[in-house]
Amino acid sequence: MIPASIALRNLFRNRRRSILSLVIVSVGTAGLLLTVGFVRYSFEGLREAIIRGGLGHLEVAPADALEAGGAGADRPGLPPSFRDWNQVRDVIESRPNVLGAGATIQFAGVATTGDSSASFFGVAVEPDRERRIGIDLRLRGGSNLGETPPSEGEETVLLGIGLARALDAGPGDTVTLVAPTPDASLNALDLSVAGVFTTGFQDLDSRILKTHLITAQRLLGTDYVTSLVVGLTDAETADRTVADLRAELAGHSPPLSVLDWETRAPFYGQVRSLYRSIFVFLGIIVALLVALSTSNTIMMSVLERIREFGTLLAIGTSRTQLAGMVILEALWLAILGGLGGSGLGIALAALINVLEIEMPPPPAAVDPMILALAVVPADLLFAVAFMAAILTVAAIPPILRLFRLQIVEALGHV
Amino acid sequence: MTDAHAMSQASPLCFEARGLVRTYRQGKVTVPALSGVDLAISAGEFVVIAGPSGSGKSTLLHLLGGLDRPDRGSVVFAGTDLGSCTEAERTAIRRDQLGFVFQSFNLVPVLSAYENVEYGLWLGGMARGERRRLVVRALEEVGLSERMDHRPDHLSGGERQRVALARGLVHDPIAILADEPTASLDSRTGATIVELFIRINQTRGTTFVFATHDPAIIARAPRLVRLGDGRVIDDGRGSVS
Repeated sequence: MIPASIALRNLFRNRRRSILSLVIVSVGTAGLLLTVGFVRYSFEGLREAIIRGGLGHLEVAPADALEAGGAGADRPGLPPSFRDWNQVRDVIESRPNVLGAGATIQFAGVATTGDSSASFFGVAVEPDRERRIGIDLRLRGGSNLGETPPSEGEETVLLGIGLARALDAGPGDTVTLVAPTPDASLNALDLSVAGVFTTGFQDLDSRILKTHLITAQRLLGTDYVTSLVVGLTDAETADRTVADLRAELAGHSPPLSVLDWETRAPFYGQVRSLYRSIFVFLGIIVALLVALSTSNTIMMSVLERIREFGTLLAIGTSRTQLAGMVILEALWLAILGGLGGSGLGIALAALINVLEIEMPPPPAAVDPMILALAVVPADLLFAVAFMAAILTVAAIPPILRLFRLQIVEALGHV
Repeated sequence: MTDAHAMSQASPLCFEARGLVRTYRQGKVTVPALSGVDLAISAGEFVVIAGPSGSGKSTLLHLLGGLDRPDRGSVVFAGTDLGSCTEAERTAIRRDQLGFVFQSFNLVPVLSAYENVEYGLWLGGMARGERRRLVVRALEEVGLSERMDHRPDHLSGGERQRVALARGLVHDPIAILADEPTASLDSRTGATIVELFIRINQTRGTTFVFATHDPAIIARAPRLVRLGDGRVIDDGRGSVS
């Protein structure tokens, strides 16, 4: 005699009602899975966009520069102060999980074509290292920076699409960059526009430009860099690598800071919090809908069997054991509905992913968003467990009714 | 003095009810069900409680079986005052020491005949092998060994009542309480069931207490207790008119 088997048989005593309840639980489960899938895909997409958009997984920079400029991604205006970055890079790149460590300089100034001028936020990089790290460039015209450092007089620049529009410049045009040097004088350099790109964010596109590291060093008159951007083989190892590098670089003078990408991109945490709040809100609504409808079903199932429960009490079943039977029936409902909903959710997610439905660009973004969902096995377990919890709560009112049941009245129930 | 009375004085008491009073509320009206019942039933007796509808037969049976509590008075079963027991203790007594047979059989429809009989033993935590031995024996005793895998809806009324009896006796209880056990059966099947009850009473020595107004059972009662208006108006076969 297996209680679970009895509970399953009891569940299907009223097939139509049980099937309706299963549909409710399944739809609720599928809804949760799709929501989780969307949130997960959005998180992963945003994370990859941030990391591959130029931040990398980690950044190593002089601590005083970070104190002055903050931990955020944009720190223009501070003179490069990382002197022995080549030696530090050797240390970092000796780690097996490091794809590469690219030196960067962040700088600010004014760009002009003669007819038009605009202030800019410049990022100077090593294109070969960027490619090794996996940092993407979304070109909108022209070509990327060359991998080898350009000779003097052959320097090139990539303009953000908004900045290019403001300057009315495009590939092949010449732009003059004017920027303050570390000794507080001004320097200027003529660069040829190699291409136009987008970061995906309108606001940034109207200010940003990218050039080769050596070009920025010539403009600013320095050998120093702002920081090293580190790419890892696996984003999940970022925390561990930060800890290891902090320990390894602890004796460095001047002190170095090692920051992970999440610290450098605080808006990721904000977006995550927002999505999580939305998900919790949706989860509460789904939980309420499922709990209310299934509680009614379980209550009906109990009320229809009042005399049977009276008999079971009469022949020596305790009320706790009766409650256990009702909970088992509720759990079956959760498991079967959860599995059905998981199947439905996976099928819908696959369909949505295949259809590549285009969504409007998110606020401040440039490109439209493709609706896609990432459902992983852990989500299925979560959904079934969540439904089990809801159904257990839904079984409480019927169980309370059983605890108040008078045996004699129950035996006389028609 | 009847044979029944003589036996009751010779054997230890199975049930002893004293001054049982039970009233029910129906809306604003209080309806007396029992108005001071004294009754002693010895171990191994076969007692029929008879009386018209509303005389308090079922109420008395419920109180004897610990299914309900009296407003006043006491029930002592096998030396235990049921009024002083906790609900858990009464549940254990019903499970281990009493058997119940109901008018409408009250079998669990999703369980087979075998499982219905096995259920109480499973509740008591008995090992599977021992359960099987007792269940098969009980179903053989009531003549249903060939139908043990059938669910109640595939059994006739008489067969269902046999399963109910097997469920009531499988754990070898001290007493079986049966509330109108033949009321849902035709007279021939009812008579067969009564024969079965009497045979088990004689072979196992199980105490049987019936509530009925079935003349066939009343006619065969070794001891007949008549109730009227919630009181015992006659106790003993010799007084049956």
